[in-house]
Amino acid sequence: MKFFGNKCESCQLTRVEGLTPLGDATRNYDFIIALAGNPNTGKSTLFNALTGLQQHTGNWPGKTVARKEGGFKFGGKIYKIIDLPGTYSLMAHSEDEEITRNYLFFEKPDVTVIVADATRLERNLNLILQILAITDKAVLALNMIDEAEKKGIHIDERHLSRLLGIPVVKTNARMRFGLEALLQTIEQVATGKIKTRPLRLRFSSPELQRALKQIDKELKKILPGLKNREWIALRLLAGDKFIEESLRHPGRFYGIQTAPGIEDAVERLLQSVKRIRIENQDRFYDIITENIYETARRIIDETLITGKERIHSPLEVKLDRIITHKIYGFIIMFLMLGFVLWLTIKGANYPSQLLGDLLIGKIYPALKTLAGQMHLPGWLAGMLIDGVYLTTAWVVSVMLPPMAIFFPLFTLLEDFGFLSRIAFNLDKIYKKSGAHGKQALTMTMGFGCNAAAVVSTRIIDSPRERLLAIITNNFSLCNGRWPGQILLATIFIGAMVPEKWSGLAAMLAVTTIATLGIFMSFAGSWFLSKTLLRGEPSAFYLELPPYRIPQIRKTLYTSFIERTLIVLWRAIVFAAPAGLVIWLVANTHIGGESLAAYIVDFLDKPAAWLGLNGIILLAFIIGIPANEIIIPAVLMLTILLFDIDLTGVQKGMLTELSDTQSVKQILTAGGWTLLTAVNYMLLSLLHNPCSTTIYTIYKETKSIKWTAIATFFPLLIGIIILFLITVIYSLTAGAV
Amino acid sequence: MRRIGKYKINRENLLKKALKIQTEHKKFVPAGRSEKKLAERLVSEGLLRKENGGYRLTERGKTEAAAIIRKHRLYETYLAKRTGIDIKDWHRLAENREHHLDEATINKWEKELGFPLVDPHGDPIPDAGGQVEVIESILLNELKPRQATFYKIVHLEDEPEEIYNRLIDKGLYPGVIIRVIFNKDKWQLAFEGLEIEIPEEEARLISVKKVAVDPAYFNLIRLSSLKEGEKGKIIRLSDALFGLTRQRLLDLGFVRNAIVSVYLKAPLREPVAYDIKGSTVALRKEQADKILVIKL
Repeated sequence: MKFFGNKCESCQLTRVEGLTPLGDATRNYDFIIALAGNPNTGKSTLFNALTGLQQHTGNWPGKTVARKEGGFKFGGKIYKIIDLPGTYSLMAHSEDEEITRNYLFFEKPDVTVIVADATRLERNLNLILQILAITDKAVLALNMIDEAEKKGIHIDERHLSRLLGIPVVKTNARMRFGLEALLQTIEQVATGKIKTRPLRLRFSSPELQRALKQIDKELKKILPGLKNREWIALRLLAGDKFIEESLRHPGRFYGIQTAPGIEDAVERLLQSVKRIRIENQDRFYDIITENIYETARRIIDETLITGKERIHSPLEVKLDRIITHKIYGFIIMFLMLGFVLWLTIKGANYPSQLLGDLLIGKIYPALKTLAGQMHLPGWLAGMLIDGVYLTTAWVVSVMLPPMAIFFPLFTLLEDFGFLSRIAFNLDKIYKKSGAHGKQALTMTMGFGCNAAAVVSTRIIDSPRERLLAIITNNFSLCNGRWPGQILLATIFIGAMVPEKWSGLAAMLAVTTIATLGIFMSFAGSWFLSKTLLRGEPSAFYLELPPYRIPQIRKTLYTSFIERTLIVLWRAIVFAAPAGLVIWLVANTHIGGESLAAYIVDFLDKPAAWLGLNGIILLAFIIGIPANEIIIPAVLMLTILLFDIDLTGVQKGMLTELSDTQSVKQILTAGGWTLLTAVNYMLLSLLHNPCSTTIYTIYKETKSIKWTAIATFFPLLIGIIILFLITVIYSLTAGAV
Repeated sequence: MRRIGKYKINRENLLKKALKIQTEHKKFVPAGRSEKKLAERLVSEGLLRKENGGYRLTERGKTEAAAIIRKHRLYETYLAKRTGIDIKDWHRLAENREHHLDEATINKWEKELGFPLVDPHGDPIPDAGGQVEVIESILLNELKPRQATFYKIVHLEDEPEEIYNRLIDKGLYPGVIIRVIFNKDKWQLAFEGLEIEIPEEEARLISVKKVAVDPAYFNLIRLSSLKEGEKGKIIRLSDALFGLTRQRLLDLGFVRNAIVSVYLKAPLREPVAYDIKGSTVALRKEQADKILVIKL
């Protein structure tokens, strides 16, 4: 995405004097700087502003999962910048914290830029003070300073700087306010023009002091010349095996030459640390955190000049009262979700048509002509143009617009702080299902794309609940499945009522399917919590961020670019081969019959049990790579096998679906009834995830077992429900 | 799960039993013929040796027994800290899984769990070398009147299961600090704003340790009992908050002496959003129950 990177830089409004973003090109650099901070402090926004990269930002911990790198040039020097995962602390045994901790301690960046949310400084100080314990050169960026000042929080940054022993710069990364000052400060710290003397941790607890003193004395004796002894002692008390291991190899980790026999001394030290831990019942984490927060409180008392310090502005309180209200809260939530989906579906129509006209109406015939001029053999042209190209074009024109609308909207709601309130409102229901409240977010995201939603389950940090969210995500009807639902509902259900009501009836039918999906996600979580993922809901905490006005233009742009590229890639990788298969199945003939006819014949029997037909089953199999191919595949195969003569429709290739009348004609000729349509709609909701999602699940869980369960669990439910409906239908109507 | 021979299970259970009896300084005498046969076989393997009418574990036998106990206790700790499986099921699940777990998995979990020293019942976990640390304690039913009144529960015996489950339901976990009010045959316990009586059969399962506490402990209530708009000062986090959950709560500012106020209840009454250290964090009842405060 580098090629879009320098656009913002050229406009006068946001220009920072002397800054040249370098994207991710950072081979030769003069200094390395690391970005660290709590989740949700605008760290990634700062990273993007400096490097010109368009890294997706968001309100949730774990957004920056692995560390991200970029570069920029300022004042003639090239800087490599590393964005570390957002964490609340450096001490816990979680992967994010281990990455951050070990990076800062062992890799020693030239400058560590700590990004803090000025509105929540006290809580941020927990991490700030821990970082200062292990770095010598650091700068504190007091970000979101405008918001803090609006809330009446004024910080005496000079005094804060004196207390912390590092420079403090007020910034607003979104408006690029203070970036120049920040960069100059970074430069001066990196080059040594500003000498930093970071505040080291001081502990008031006598037992901790005693323990630290004892370990410190030992360390000094065994490994003279070892730096940051206090931090090492703290880590030993926390049982950090990495640090223990590092002490066993002081040469490799600290560059200290040691005398022989040192190993025994280290082992003895580690044993005595263990005894201290046992004597104190392993409660050093509590004591250390308490002490850090004591220091934080003192710093806050001294540096906060506050007229009226308040956590919530009156507007925020009012908003929260409405958004989390017993009745209005839920109404707003459903209206909002409905609005987003409506806007996605409606808004996508026009650009979809434009894309369709271009890709299928103009480029497709042009390719055909070109193939004719080049004298390509018929089968090759058919395979490439009617198979691969047409399917890909269809997927792109149907998929791209809804994605490009849905995801930016979703991100806007997230940035505003609305989505975390949804999680807050719904958590109780999730708790009853044995799941985590944040599953509300991953479920909602699934309405856009299940694969993206599976990745987003990283915001749930307990493994059991995360698996629940992954396995049940497919119950969210994704963008690829909406068009088919709407089409069939219009044709079969809308047609059952007087014409002026048909639109409404169709909409209700689709809403029912989507709602059934939401219900299934609760029921599925509940069922799994009682069986495969037995257990009570575990740890839960949810930070409610303050409401923030989202950066609309920036979000639209970033989110659009990101999704566009992902969808294009997906279309090429997954839809193209599927197109090839559809064409081959329809056009390979064995003994006069096409391969498709054989397969459909074979599938007809099992399909009848499910109130479907063999064509639909075959289409679902072909459609594994992408759900949006299923309906076109059904149409193509029906036309082919029932020898339907439609002018303008060629056999074995996809066409536009805008003409519902001809679609209806095709399907009715193919033997479709109301039962077929209803069962199709249900199966489309309740079947295996698409191959992208399956692959993503595998990447996220690293387990074949859970991937298989996530794949077959919804399918199994679908088969059972379809079977039951078919049986009931045939009993009541007397015919299948 | 891998299929494991019945012999391996019996053998490992016997080793465990022998170690348990041995640490109580008693002699291990096999009960019944099949156990005796098994014991003889372990003698031939060099894990047991005969000693005045009974059996004793050899050094190798001890190490092996400790390894099985280590698996059991680490697995229980894993269940407690990572899975959210009900506390009543831990022991039974661990009794089964201890025979199926390999060293590598156990060592990996130990690392992930942050090298815990005791399991959720308060029993020490042997380290990879088989070393066990001993924790001093007294049984609740052996306490004498006029002794100190504040105790911390350090261990709950998980058998018989039925009584153990009753204790858990009453909210008595290892780590809970109780005030003992002496009565004739009943043990009256005050903790976390509750006052309950337990019979002797229950008191017998509880091991306690004397603790010196702040007078504030008399007024402790659970954070979850505060109403909207009310304020409290945190006095302690219950020891029943384990691992990452505990660390997260601490990191988010739920530390001793922190002032916390109730900002907002969710429409379905749960979770509740609290203002703490300048930010807002929502917790479920289970967590808020284990944060003990005095009302301001």
